[in-house]
Amino acid sequence: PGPPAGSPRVSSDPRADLDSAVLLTRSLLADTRQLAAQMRDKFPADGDHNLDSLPTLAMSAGTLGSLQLPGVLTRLRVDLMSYFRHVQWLRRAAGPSLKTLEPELGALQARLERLLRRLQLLMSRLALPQAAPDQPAVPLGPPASAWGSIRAAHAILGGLHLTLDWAVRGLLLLKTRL
Amino acid sequence: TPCPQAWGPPGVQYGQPGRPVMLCCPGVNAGTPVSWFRDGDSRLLQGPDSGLGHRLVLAQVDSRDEGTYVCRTLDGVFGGMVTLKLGSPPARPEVSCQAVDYENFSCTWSPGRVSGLPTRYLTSYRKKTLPGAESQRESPSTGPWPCPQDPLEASRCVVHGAEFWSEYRINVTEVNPLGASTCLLDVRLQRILRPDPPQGLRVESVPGYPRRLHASWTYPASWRRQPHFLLKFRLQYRPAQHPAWSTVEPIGLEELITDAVAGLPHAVRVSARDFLDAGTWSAWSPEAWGTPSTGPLRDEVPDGSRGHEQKLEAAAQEDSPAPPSPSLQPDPRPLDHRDPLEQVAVLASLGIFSFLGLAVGALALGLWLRLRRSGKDGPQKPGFLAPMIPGDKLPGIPNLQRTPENFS
Repeated sequence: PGPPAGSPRVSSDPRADLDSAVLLTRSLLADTRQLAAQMRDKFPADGDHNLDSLPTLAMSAGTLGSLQLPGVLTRLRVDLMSYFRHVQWLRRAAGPSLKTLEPELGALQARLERLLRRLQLLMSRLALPQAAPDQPAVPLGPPASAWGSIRAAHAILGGLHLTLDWAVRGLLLLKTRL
Repeated sequence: TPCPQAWGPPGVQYGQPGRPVMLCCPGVNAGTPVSWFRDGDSRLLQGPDSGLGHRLVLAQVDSRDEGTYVCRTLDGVFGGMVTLKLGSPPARPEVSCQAVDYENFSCTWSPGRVSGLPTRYLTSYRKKTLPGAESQRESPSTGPWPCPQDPLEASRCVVHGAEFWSEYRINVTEVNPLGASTCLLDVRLQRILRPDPPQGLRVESVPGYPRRLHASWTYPASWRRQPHFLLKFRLQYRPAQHPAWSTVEPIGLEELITDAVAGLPHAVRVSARDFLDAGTWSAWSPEAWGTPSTGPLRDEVPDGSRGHEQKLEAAAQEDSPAPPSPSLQPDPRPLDHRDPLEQVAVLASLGIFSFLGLAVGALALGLWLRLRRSGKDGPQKPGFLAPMIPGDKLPGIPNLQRTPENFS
Protein backbone atom coordinates (compact mmCIF):
# COMPACT_ATOMS: atom_id res chain seq x y z
CA PRO A 1 0.00 0.00 0.00
CA GLY A 2 1.21 3.45 -0.80
CA PRO A 3 1.13 6.31 1.61
CA PRO A 4 -2.37 7.49 2.29
CA ALA A 5 -3.47 10.66 0.62
CA GLY A 6 -3.18 13.76 2.68
CA SER A 7 -3.08 17.46 2.28
CA PRO A 8 0.01 18.88 3.95
CA ARG A 9 0.02 22.62 4.22
CA VAL A 10 2.46 23.93 1.68
CA SER A 11 2.95 27.18 -0.11
CA SER A 12 2.52 27.65 -3.84
CA ASP A 13 6.21 28.43 -4.21
CA PRO A 14 8.17 25.33 -5.27
CA ARG A 15 11.31 26.70 -3.61
CA ALA A 16 9.46 26.92 -0.30
CA ASP A 17 8.13 23.40 -0.88
CA LEU A 18 11.66 22.24 -1.52
CA ASP A 19 12.90 24.00 1.62
CA SER A 20 10.24 22.26 3.60
CA ALA A 21 11.14 18.88 2.07
CA VAL A 22 14.81 19.49 2.92
CA LEU A 23 13.95 20.27 6.53
CA LEU A 24 11.76 17.23 6.84
CA THR A 25 14.35 14.95 5.25
CA ARG A 26 17.13 16.35 7.35
CA SER A 27 15.29 15.86 10.58
CA LEU A 28 14.35 12.34 9.53
CA LEU A 29 18.01 11.70 8.75
CA ALA A 30 19.00 12.76 12.26
CA ASP A 31 16.30 10.61 13.84
CA THR A 32 17.15 7.60 11.69
CA ARG A 33 20.79 7.92 12.67
CA GLN A 34 19.74 7.99 16.29
CA LEU A 35 17.47 4.99 15.86
CA ALA A 36 20.18 3.02 14.04
CA ALA A 37 22.54 3.77 16.93
CA GLN A 38 19.88 2.69 19.40
CA MET A 39 19.46 -0.51 17.41
CA ARG A 40 23.20 -1.15 17.52
CA ASP A 41 23.18 -0.58 21.27
CA LYS A 42 20.30 -2.93 21.92
CA PHE A 43 21.18 -5.56 19.35
CA PRO A 44 24.92 -5.38 18.67
CA ALA A 45 25.58 -7.15 15.40
CA ASP A 46 28.79 -6.55 13.48
CA GLY A 47 29.15 -7.55 9.90
CA ASP A 48 27.05 -7.40 6.78
CA HIS A 49 23.33 -6.99 7.06
CA ASN A 50 21.74 -7.09 3.66
CA LEU A 51 18.25 -7.44 2.34
CA ASP A 52 18.10 -8.11 -1.34
CA SER A 53 14.74 -6.40 -1.60
CA LEU A 54 16.14 -3.02 -0.53
CA PRO A 55 17.04 -0.48 -3.19
CA THR A 56 20.71 -0.09 -4.03
CA LEU A 57 22.40 3.24 -3.85
CA ALA A 58 25.46 3.34 -6.08
CA MET A 59 26.38 6.88 -6.91
CA SER A 60 29.33 9.20 -6.59
CA ALA A 61 29.07 12.80 -5.42
CA GLY A 62 29.84 13.85 -8.98
CA THR A 63 27.02 11.76 -10.42
CA LEU A 64 24.59 13.21 -7.93
CA GLY A 65 25.75 16.66 -8.98
CA SER A 66 24.88 15.91 -12.59
CA LEU A 67 21.34 14.64 -11.89
CA GLN A 68 18.41 16.76 -12.89
CA LEU A 69 15.41 17.55 -10.77
CA PRO A 70 13.02 14.91 -12.11
CA GLY A 71 15.68 12.22 -11.74
CA VAL A 72 16.40 13.00 -8.10
CA LEU A 73 12.80 13.36 -7.02
CA THR A 74 11.57 10.27 -8.82
CA ARG A 75 14.41 8.13 -7.55
CA LEU A 76 14.00 9.46 -4.04
CA ARG A 77 10.29 8.80 -4.00
CA VAL A 78 10.69 5.25 -5.31
CA ASP A 79 13.40 4.44 -2.79
CA LEU A 80 11.59 5.99 0.14
CA MET A 81 8.46 4.13 -0.82
CA SER A 82 10.45 0.92 -0.67
CA TYR A 83 11.79 1.79 2.77
CA PHE A 84 8.29 2.71 3.89
CA ARG A 85 7.10 -0.77 2.88
CA HIS A 86 10.06 -2.41 4.57
CA VAL A 87 9.44 -0.58 7.85
CA GLN A 88 5.79 -1.57 7.62
CA TRP A 89 6.85 -5.16 7.03
CA LEU A 90 9.35 -5.08 9.86
CA ARG A 91 6.72 -3.92 12.33
CA ARG A 92 4.28 -6.56 11.17
CA ALA A 93 6.59 -9.52 10.79
CA ALA A 94 9.47 -8.96 13.18
CA GLY A 95 7.93 -10.76 16.12
CA PRO A 96 8.70 -10.12 19.77
CA SER A 97 12.43 -9.47 19.39
CA LEU A 98 11.91 -5.93 18.11
CA LYS A 99 8.92 -5.09 20.26
CA THR A 100 11.00 -2.73 22.39
CA LEU A 101 11.58 -0.57 19.34
CA GLU A 102 7.96 -0.61 18.20
CA PRO A 103 7.17 3.01 19.20
CA GLU A 104 10.24 4.27 17.37
CA LEU A 105 9.52 2.16 14.29
CA GLY A 106 5.92 3.38 14.28
CA ALA A 107 7.09 6.96 14.46
CA LEU A 108 9.60 6.33 11.70
CA GLN A 109 6.89 4.93 9.46
CA ALA A 110 4.68 7.95 10.11
CA ARG A 111 7.52 10.35 9.34
CA LEU A 112 8.37 8.51 6.14
CA GLU A 113 4.74 8.69 5.12
CA ARG A 114 4.70 12.42 5.75
CA LEU A 115 7.85 12.96 3.71
CA LEU A 116 6.44 10.88 0.86
CA ARG A 117 3.34 13.02 0.80
CA ARG A 118 5.46 16.15 0.74
CA LEU A 119 7.50 14.82 -2.18
CA GLN A 120 4.35 13.82 -4.01
CA LEU A 121 3.02 17.32 -3.64
CA LEU A 122 6.29 18.87 -4.73
CA MET A 123 6.33 16.70 -7.82
CA SER A 124 2.80 17.64 -8.72
CA ARG A 125 3.62 21.32 -8.27
CA LEU A 126 6.54 20.90 -10.60
CA ALA A 127 4.34 18.90 -13.00
CA LEU A 128 6.64 15.88 -12.82
CA PRO A 129 5.29 12.43 -13.70
CA GLN A 130 4.66 10.17 -10.71
CA ALA A 131 4.09 6.82 -12.35
CA ALA A 132 7.10 4.98 -11.01
CA PRO A 133 6.18 4.65 -7.31
CA ASP A 134 2.94 2.93 -8.16
CA GLN A 135 4.59 -0.15 -9.60
CA PRO A 136 3.58 -3.28 -7.70
CA ALA A 137 5.74 -4.03 -4.70
CA VAL A 138 7.33 -7.42 -4.33
CA PRO A 139 5.74 -9.12 -1.30
CA LEU A 140 8.19 -9.63 1.53
CA GLY A 141 8.30 -12.98 3.23
CA PRO A 142 8.54 -13.31 7.00
CA PRO A 143 12.05 -13.30 8.50
CA ALA A 144 13.48 -16.78 8.93
CA SER A 145 14.20 -16.26 12.64
CA ALA A 146 14.40 -13.70 15.39
CA TRP A 147 18.00 -13.15 14.38
CA GLY A 148 16.82 -12.70 10.80
CA SER A 149 14.50 -9.90 11.80
CA ILE A 150 17.24 -8.17 13.77
CA ARG A 151 19.55 -8.38 10.78
CA ALA A 152 16.76 -7.05 8.59
CA ALA A 153 16.22 -4.12 10.97
CA HIS A 154 19.94 -3.31 10.84
CA ALA A 155 19.88 -3.45 7.05
CA ILE A 156 16.75 -1.31 6.73
CA LEU A 157 17.91 1.38 9.15
CA GLY A 158 21.43 1.44 7.72
CA GLY A 159 20.16 1.68 4.15
CA LEU A 160 17.57 4.31 5.02
CA HIS A 161 20.19 6.39 6.78
CA LEU A 162 22.32 6.42 3.64
CA THR A 163 19.35 7.11 1.40
CA LEU A 164 18.32 10.09 3.52
CA ASP A 165 21.86 11.42 3.51
CA TRP A 166 21.79 11.15 -0.27
CA ALA A 167 18.35 12.75 -0.35
CA VAL A 168 19.25 15.83 1.69
CA ARG A 169 22.27 16.50 -0.50
CA GLY A 170 20.27 15.92 -3.66
CA LEU A 171 17.46 18.24 -2.57
CA LEU A 172 19.90 20.96 -1.54
CA LEU A 173 21.51 20.73 -4.92
CA LEU A 174 18.16 21.00 -6.64
CA LYS A 175 17.41 24.13 -4.64
CA THR A 176 20.31 25.87 -6.29
CA ARG A 177 18.86 25.04 -9.70
CA LEU A 178 15.23 25.84 -9.16
CA THR B 1 57.54 -25.99 -4.76
CA PRO B 2 61.08 -26.97 -3.77
CA CYS B 3 63.03 -24.03 -5.08
CA PRO B 4 60.76 -21.08 -5.86
CA GLN B 5 62.91 -18.20 -6.80
CA ALA B 6 61.12 -15.31 -8.27
CA TRP B 7 62.16 -12.99 -5.50
CA GLY B 8 64.87 -10.64 -4.50
CA PRO B 9 68.35 -10.47 -5.93
CA PRO B 10 69.50 -13.41 -8.06
CA GLY B 11 71.21 -16.25 -6.22
CA VAL B 12 69.38 -15.70 -2.93
CA GLN B 13 67.03 -18.30 -1.54
CA TYR B 14 64.89 -18.04 1.57
CA GLY B 15 63.90 -20.20 4.50
CA GLN B 16 62.17 -20.08 7.84
CA PRO B 17 63.99 -20.83 11.11
CA GLY B 18 63.10 -24.25 12.53
CA ARG B 19 61.91 -25.56 9.18
CA PRO B 20 63.73 -27.67 6.56
CA VAL B 21 65.08 -25.75 3.60
CA MET B 22 65.81 -26.98 0.11
CA LEU B 23 68.39 -25.09 -1.97
CA CYS B 24 68.76 -25.57 -5.74
CA CYS B 25 71.97 -25.32 -7.66
CA PRO B 26 71.45 -22.48 -10.10
CA GLY B 27 72.00 -23.03 -13.80
CA VAL B 28 71.97 -26.83 -13.54
CA ASN B 29 69.31 -29.06 -15.05
CA ALA B 30 66.94 -30.64 -12.57
CA GLY B 31 68.25 -34.03 -11.38
CA THR B 32 71.89 -33.37 -12.27
CA PRO B 33 73.98 -34.68 -9.35
CA VAL B 34 76.09 -32.00 -7.65
CA SER B 35 78.28 -31.64 -4.57
CA TRP B 36 77.53 -28.96 -1.99
CA PHE B 37 79.96 -26.95 0.20
CA ARG B 38 79.76 -23.89 2.45
CA ASP B 39 81.54 -21.00 0.84
CA GLY B 40 85.12 -20.89 2.10
CA ASP B 41 84.90 -24.36 3.63
CA SER B 42 86.23 -27.39 1.74
CA ARG B 43 84.27 -29.89 3.83
CA LEU B 44 81.63 -31.68 1.76
CA LEU B 45 78.09 -30.97 2.92
CA GLN B 46 76.25 -33.26 0.57
CA GLY B 47 77.78 -35.53 -2.07
CA PRO B 48 76.55 -36.22 -5.61
CA ASP B 49 75.31 -39.66 -4.57
CA SER B 50 72.69 -38.24 -2.20
CA GLY B 51 69.95 -38.99 -4.70
CA LEU B 52 68.69 -35.43 -4.43
CA GLY B 53 70.16 -34.34 -7.75
CA HIS B 54 70.79 -30.61 -7.89
CA ARG B 55 69.15 -29.95 -4.53
CA LEU B 56 70.54 -29.52 -1.04
CA VAL B 57 68.29 -30.28 1.92
CA LEU B 58 68.99 -28.64 5.28
CA ALA B 59 66.88 -29.90 8.19
CA GLN B 60 65.63 -27.36 10.75
CA VAL B 61 67.71 -24.38 9.79
CA ASP B 62 68.71 -21.69 12.22
CA SER B 63 70.61 -18.46 11.95
CA ARG B 64 73.92 -20.32 11.76
CA ASP B 65 72.83 -21.82 8.46
CA GLU B 66 72.47 -18.44 6.84
CA GLY B 67 75.17 -17.70 4.33
CA THR B 68 76.50 -18.74 0.95
CA TYR B 69 76.55 -22.29 -0.39
CA VAL B 70 78.56 -23.55 -3.37
CA CYS B 71 77.48 -26.34 -5.71
CA ARG B 72 79.64 -28.10 -8.27
CA THR B 73 78.92 -30.75 -10.93
CA LEU B 74 80.75 -34.08 -10.91
CA ASP B 75 83.19 -33.08 -13.61
CA GLY B 76 83.89 -29.84 -11.80
CA VAL B 77 83.18 -27.90 -14.94
CA PHE B 78 80.18 -26.05 -13.65
CA GLY B 79 79.47 -24.54 -10.29
CA GLY B 80 77.12 -22.06 -8.74
CA MET B 81 76.51 -20.15 -5.55
CA VAL B 82 73.37 -19.74 -3.51
CA THR B 83 72.86 -17.48 -0.52
CA LEU B 84 70.41 -18.63 2.16
CA LYS B 85 68.53 -15.94 4.04
CA LEU B 86 66.10 -16.71 6.84
CA GLY B 87 62.94 -14.89 7.76
CA SER B 88 59.23 -15.32 8.46
CA PRO B 89 56.24 -15.72 6.22
CA PRO B 90 53.97 -12.66 6.19
CA ALA B 91 51.48 -12.05 8.97
CA ARG B 92 48.22 -10.36 8.15
CA PRO B 93 48.97 -6.68 7.48
CA GLU B 94 47.25 -3.95 9.45
CA VAL B 95 45.19 -1.76 7.16
CA SER B 96 43.29 1.45 7.70
CA CYS B 97 41.55 3.73 5.25
CA GLN B 98 41.05 7.47 5.39
CA ALA B 99 39.13 10.04 3.37
CA VAL B 100 39.76 13.76 3.59
CA ASP B 101 37.18 14.53 0.93
CA TYR B 102 34.00 13.00 -0.39
CA GLU B 103 35.32 11.57 -3.66
CA ASN B 104 38.55 9.76 -2.87
CA PHE B 105 39.96 7.62 -0.14
CA SER B 106 43.33 6.14 0.63
CA CYS B 107 44.38 3.06 2.51
CA THR B 108 47.62 2.60 4.38
CA TRP B 109 49.08 -0.54 5.83
CA SER B 110 51.90 -1.83 7.96
CA PRO B 111 53.25 -5.35 8.29
CA GLY B 112 51.70 -7.53 10.96
CA ARG B 113 55.26 -8.53 11.91
CA VAL B 114 58.70 -7.82 10.55
CA SER B 115 59.61 -10.69 8.25
CA GLY B 116 63.16 -9.63 7.46
CA LEU B 117 62.55 -10.63 3.86
CA PRO B 118 61.84 -8.73 0.68
CA THR B 119 58.14 -7.95 0.74
CA ARG B 120 55.62 -6.51 -1.61
CA TYR B 121 51.95 -5.71 -1.30
CA LEU B 122 49.14 -6.44 -3.72
CA THR B 123 46.30 -3.99 -3.31
CA SER B 124 42.86 -4.16 -4.85
CA TYR B 125 39.29 -3.23 -4.07
CA ARG B 126 35.81 -4.10 -5.13
CA LYS B 127 32.46 -2.55 -4.56
CA LYS B 128 30.03 -4.27 -2.27
CA THR B 129 26.53 -3.78 -3.51
CA LEU B 130 24.75 -2.87 -0.35
CA PRO B 131 22.15 -3.03 0.88
CA GLY B 132 20.76 -5.72 -1.43
CA ALA B 133 20.97 -6.81 -5.07
CA GLU B 134 22.44 -10.30 -5.00
CA SER B 135 22.42 -10.32 -8.79
CA GLN B 136 24.87 -7.42 -8.95
CA ARG B 137 27.48 -8.94 -6.70
CA GLU B 138 29.44 -10.57 -9.50
CA SER B 139 28.85 -7.79 -11.98
CA PRO B 140 31.91 -6.30 -13.72
CA SER B 141 30.85 -2.94 -12.36
CA THR B 142 31.76 -4.14 -8.89
CA GLY B 143 35.42 -4.93 -9.59
CA PRO B 144 37.84 -6.01 -8.34
CA TRP B 145 40.15 -3.26 -9.52
CA PRO B 146 43.73 -2.58 -8.51
CA CYS B 147 44.15 0.07 -5.85
CA PRO B 148 47.00 2.11 -7.34
CA GLN B 149 49.92 2.39 -4.97
CA ASP B 150 51.42 5.78 -4.35
CA PRO B 151 54.82 5.82 -6.05
CA LEU B 152 56.13 8.48 -3.70
CA GLU B 153 54.68 7.28 -0.44
CA ALA B 154 55.23 3.66 0.48
CA SER B 155 52.44 1.58 1.99
CA ARG B 156 49.58 3.65 0.61
CA CYS B 157 47.13 3.24 -2.23
CA VAL B 158 44.46 5.63 -3.39
CA VAL B 159 40.97 5.05 -4.79
CA HIS B 160 39.82 7.97 -6.87
CA GLY B 161 36.23 8.78 -7.76
CA ALA B 162 34.68 6.49 -5.16
CA GLU B 163 30.95 6.38 -4.61
CA PHE B 164 30.16 8.24 -1.41
CA TRP B 165 27.38 5.94 -0.19
CA SER B 166 28.74 2.58 -1.40
CA GLU B 167 30.71 0.10 0.59
CA TYR B 168 34.03 -1.14 -0.72
CA ARG B 169 36.06 -4.17 0.26
CA ILE B 170 39.78 -3.44 0.29
CA ASN B 171 42.19 -6.32 -0.15
CA VAL B 172 45.78 -5.80 0.96
CA THR B 173 47.92 -8.91 0.55
CA GLU B 174 51.44 -9.00 1.90
CA VAL B 175 53.65 -11.31 -0.13
CA ASN B 176 57.22 -12.44 0.56
CA PRO B 177 59.24 -15.45 -0.62
CA LEU B 178 57.75 -17.60 2.11
CA GLY B 179 54.08 -16.94 1.47
CA ALA B 180 51.23 -14.45 1.46
CA SER B 181 48.72 -13.10 3.94
CA THR B 182 45.62 -11.04 3.23
CA CYS B 183 43.68 -8.41 5.13
CA LEU B 184 40.18 -7.56 3.94
CA LEU B 185 38.66 -4.32 5.13
CA ASP B 186 35.20 -2.93 4.40
CA VAL B 187 35.02 0.84 4.10
CA ARG B 188 32.42 3.39 3.17
CA LEU B 189 33.36 6.96 2.34
CA GLN B 190 30.30 8.23 4.16
CA ARG B 191 31.60 6.61 7.34
CA ILE B 192 35.36 7.18 7.17
CA LEU B 193 35.19 10.77 5.99
CA ARG B 194 37.41 12.99 8.11
CA PRO B 195 38.18 16.35 6.58
CA ASP B 196 41.51 18.05 6.97
CA PRO B 197 41.50 20.79 9.59
CA PRO B 198 40.36 24.23 8.45
CA GLN B 199 43.11 26.48 7.16
CA GLY B 200 44.17 30.08 7.47
CA LEU B 201 42.88 30.60 10.99
CA ARG B 202 43.29 34.24 11.99
CA VAL B 203 42.44 35.84 15.29
CA GLU B 204 42.12 39.60 15.38
CA SER B 205 41.21 42.10 18.02
CA VAL B 206 38.22 44.35 17.50
CA PRO B 207 39.29 47.96 18.06
CA GLY B 208 37.42 49.56 20.91
CA TYR B 209 36.10 46.26 22.29
CA PRO B 210 38.39 44.90 25.02
CA ARG B 211 36.48 41.62 25.35
CA ARG B 212 36.09 40.75 21.70
CA LEU B 213 38.12 38.70 19.31
CA HIS B 214 37.27 38.02 15.71
CA ALA B 215 38.31 34.62 14.32
CA SER B 216 38.14 33.63 10.67
CA TRP B 217 39.33 30.65 8.66
CA THR B 218 38.85 28.93 5.32
CA TYR B 219 37.87 25.49 4.06
CA PRO B 220 40.74 23.01 3.90
CA ALA B 221 42.26 22.98 0.44
CA SER B 222 41.47 19.28 0.08
CA TRP B 223 37.70 19.89 0.33
CA ARG B 224 35.92 21.07 -2.80
CA ARG B 225 33.05 23.17 -1.53
CA GLN B 226 29.74 22.39 -3.18
CA PRO B 227 26.16 23.18 -2.15
CA HIS B 228 25.58 19.55 -1.26
CA PHE B 229 28.94 18.93 0.38
CA LEU B 230 29.51 21.64 2.94
CA LEU B 231 31.43 21.67 6.18
CA LYS B 232 30.35 22.75 9.60
CA PHE B 233 32.81 23.95 12.20
CA ARG B 234 33.45 24.10 15.89
CA LEU B 235 35.74 26.59 17.47
CA GLN B 236 37.52 26.47 20.79
CA TYR B 237 39.21 29.30 22.61
CA ARG B 238 40.86 29.88 25.96
CA PRO B 239 42.86 32.59 27.60
CA ALA B 240 46.57 31.93 28.05
CA GLN B 241 47.29 29.81 31.13
CA HIS B 242 43.65 28.78 31.36
CA PRO B 243 43.45 25.01 30.84
CA ALA B 244 39.80 24.65 29.80
CA TRP B 245 38.54 25.40 26.33
CA SER B 246 35.23 27.09 25.60
CA THR B 247 33.51 25.64 22.55
CA VAL B 248 31.10 27.21 20.08
CA GLU B 249 29.69 26.02 16.77
CA PRO B 250 29.95 28.95 14.40
CA ILE B 251 27.51 29.33 11.55
CA GLY B 252 29.96 30.28 8.84
CA LEU B 253 33.63 30.85 8.39
CA GLU B 254 34.03 33.34 11.19
CA GLU B 255 33.13 33.85 14.80
CA LEU B 256 33.01 36.84 17.08
CA ILE B 257 34.12 35.94 20.58
CA THR B 258 32.56 38.40 23.01
CA ASP B 259 33.69 37.02 26.34
CA ALA B 260 37.45 37.18 25.96
CA VAL B 261 39.42 38.16 29.03
CA ALA B 262 40.61 41.71 28.53
CA GLY B 263 44.32 42.08 28.15
CA LEU B 264 45.10 38.37 27.92
CA PRO B 265 46.27 36.56 24.81
CA HIS B 266 43.85 33.81 23.72
CA ALA B 267 44.47 30.58 21.88
CA VAL B 268 41.90 29.67 19.26
CA ARG B 269 41.53 26.52 17.18
CA VAL B 270 38.89 25.15 14.80
CA SER B 271 37.89 21.79 13.42
CA ALA B 272 35.53 20.77 10.64
CA ARG B 273 33.01 18.06 9.87
CA ASP B 274 30.65 17.24 7.05
CA PHE B 275 27.51 19.30 7.59
CA LEU B 276 25.29 16.20 7.70
CA ASP B 277 27.54 14.53 10.27
CA ALA B 278 28.98 11.96 7.89
CA GLY B 279 32.26 10.60 9.21
CA THR B 280 33.98 12.34 12.08
CA TRP B 281 35.36 15.70 13.11
CA SER B 282 38.70 16.73 11.69
CA ALA B 283 41.74 17.17 13.84
CA TRP B 284 42.07 20.62 15.38
CA SER B 285 43.78 23.25 13.34
CA PRO B 286 47.05 24.64 14.65
CA GLU B 287 46.31 27.17 17.36
CA ALA B 288 46.22 30.82 16.46
CA TRP B 289 46.66 33.53 19.09
CA GLY B 290 45.13 36.92 19.54
CA THR B 291 44.76 39.53 22.27
CA PRO B 292 41.70 41.74 22.62
CA SER B 293 42.13 45.37 21.81
CA THR B 294 43.40 47.67 24.54
CA GLY B 295 42.50 50.85 22.71
CA PRO B 296 39.78 53.34 23.66
CA LEU B 297 36.52 51.69 24.73
CA ARG B 298 33.30 51.48 22.80
CA ASP B 299 29.91 50.46 24.11
CA GLU B 300 29.43 46.69 24.08
CA VAL B 301 25.84 46.25 23.00
CA PRO B 302 24.45 42.80 23.67
CA ASP B 303 23.42 41.15 20.45
CA GLY B 304 20.23 39.16 20.84
CA SER B 305 21.05 36.89 17.91
CA ARG B 306 24.19 35.61 19.58
CA GLY B 307 22.75 34.23 22.74
CA HIS B 308 25.22 31.38 23.04
CA GLU B 309 28.08 33.80 23.29
CA GLN B 310 26.46 35.48 26.23
CA LYS B 311 25.74 32.15 27.89
CA LEU B 312 29.34 31.13 27.31
CA GLU B 313 30.49 34.39 28.76
CA ALA B 314 28.66 33.64 31.97
CA ALA B 315 29.89 30.05 32.01
CA ALA B 316 33.47 31.06 31.32
CA GLN B 317 33.43 33.48 34.19
CA GLU B 318 32.00 30.85 36.54
CA ASP B 319 34.58 28.27 35.47
CA SER B 320 37.53 30.54 35.59
CA PRO B 321 39.98 29.46 38.31
CA ALA B 322 41.47 32.93 38.43
CA PRO B 323 39.35 35.83 39.54
CA PRO B 324 37.93 37.45 36.45
CA SER B 325 39.65 40.59 35.43
CA PRO B 326 37.64 43.73 35.97
CA SER B 327 35.14 43.72 33.16
CA LEU B 328 35.33 46.77 31.01
CA GLN B 329 32.02 45.94 29.44
CA PRO B 330 29.43 48.61 30.27
CA ASP B 331 26.00 47.70 31.53
CA PRO B 332 23.53 46.61 28.89
CA ARG B 333 21.55 49.44 27.49
CA PRO B 334 17.96 49.85 28.60
CA LEU B 335 15.08 48.39 26.61
CA ASP B 336 14.29 51.54 24.64
CA HIS B 337 17.66 51.32 22.86
CA ARG B 338 16.82 47.99 21.27
CA ASP B 339 15.91 47.29 17.71
CA PRO B 340 12.63 49.13 16.87
CA LEU B 341 11.24 45.93 15.36
CA GLU B 342 11.84 44.16 18.66
CA GLN B 343 9.98 46.91 20.54
CA VAL B 344 7.02 46.57 18.21
CA ALA B 345 7.02 42.82 18.74
CA VAL B 346 7.10 43.23 22.54
CA LEU B 347 4.23 45.71 22.46
CA ALA B 348 2.19 43.46 20.20
CA SER B 349 2.77 40.49 22.52
CA LEU B 350 1.70 42.53 25.55
CA GLY B 351 -1.45 43.57 23.71
CA ILE B 352 -2.31 40.01 22.77
CA PHE B 353 -1.75 38.75 26.30
CA SER B 354 -3.93 41.53 27.74
CA PHE B 355 -6.68 40.72 25.30
CA LEU B 356 -6.51 37.01 26.07
CA GLY B 357 -6.59 37.73 29.81
CA LEU B 358 -9.70 39.85 29.43
CA ALA B 359 -11.40 37.23 27.26
CA VAL B 360 -10.69 34.45 29.77
CA GLY B 361 -11.98 36.65 32.59
CA ALA B 362 -15.20 37.41 30.73
CA LEU B 363 -15.73 33.72 29.93
CA ALA B 364 -15.20 32.73 33.57
CA LEU B 365 -17.67 35.38 34.70
CA GLY B 366 -20.25 34.17 32.18
CA LEU B 367 -19.88 30.57 33.30
CA TRP B 368 -20.15 31.54 36.95
CA LEU B 369 -23.37 33.44 36.30
CA ARG B 370 -24.80 30.52 34.34
CA LEU B 371 -23.89 28.06 37.06
CA ARG B 372 -25.56 30.24 39.65
CA ARG B 373 -28.71 30.42 37.55
CA SER B 374 -28.70 26.62 36.97
CA GLY B 375 -28.20 26.03 40.66
CA LYS B 376 -31.29 28.08 41.31
CA ASP B 377 -33.32 26.37 38.54
CA GLY B 378 -32.67 22.79 39.67
CA PRO B 379 -30.07 19.97 39.52
CA GLN B 380 -27.26 20.36 37.02
CA LYS B 381 -27.77 18.62 33.69
CA PRO B 382 -25.04 16.07 32.92
CA GLY B 383 -22.61 16.85 30.08
CA PHE B 384 -23.54 20.45 29.68
CA LEU B 385 -20.06 21.20 28.30
CA ALA B 386 -20.29 18.37 25.79
CA PRO B 387 -20.69 20.59 22.75
CA MET B 388 -17.36 22.27 23.63
CA ILE B 389 -15.40 19.00 23.85
CA PRO B 390 -14.28 17.11 20.73
CA GLY B 391 -15.93 13.72 20.39
CA ASP B 392 -12.72 11.72 20.61
CA LYS B 393 -11.82 13.34 23.94
CA LEU B 394 -15.05 12.28 25.64
CA PRO B 395 -14.63 9.48 28.16
CA GLY B 396 -15.48 6.06 26.78
CA ILE B 397 -14.58 6.91 23.17
CA PRO B 398 -11.19 5.42 22.25
CA ASN B 399 -8.71 7.59 20.40
CA LEU B 400 -8.21 5.66 17.16
CA GLN B 401 -5.90 8.00 15.31
CA ARG B 402 -2.98 8.43 17.65
CA THR B 403 0.29 8.52 15.85
CA PRO B 404 3.52 9.27 17.70
CA GLU B 405 5.20 12.27 16.13
CA ASN B 406 8.58 12.06 17.78
CA PHE B 407 10.95 9.24 18.37
CA SER B 408 12.33 10.13 21.69
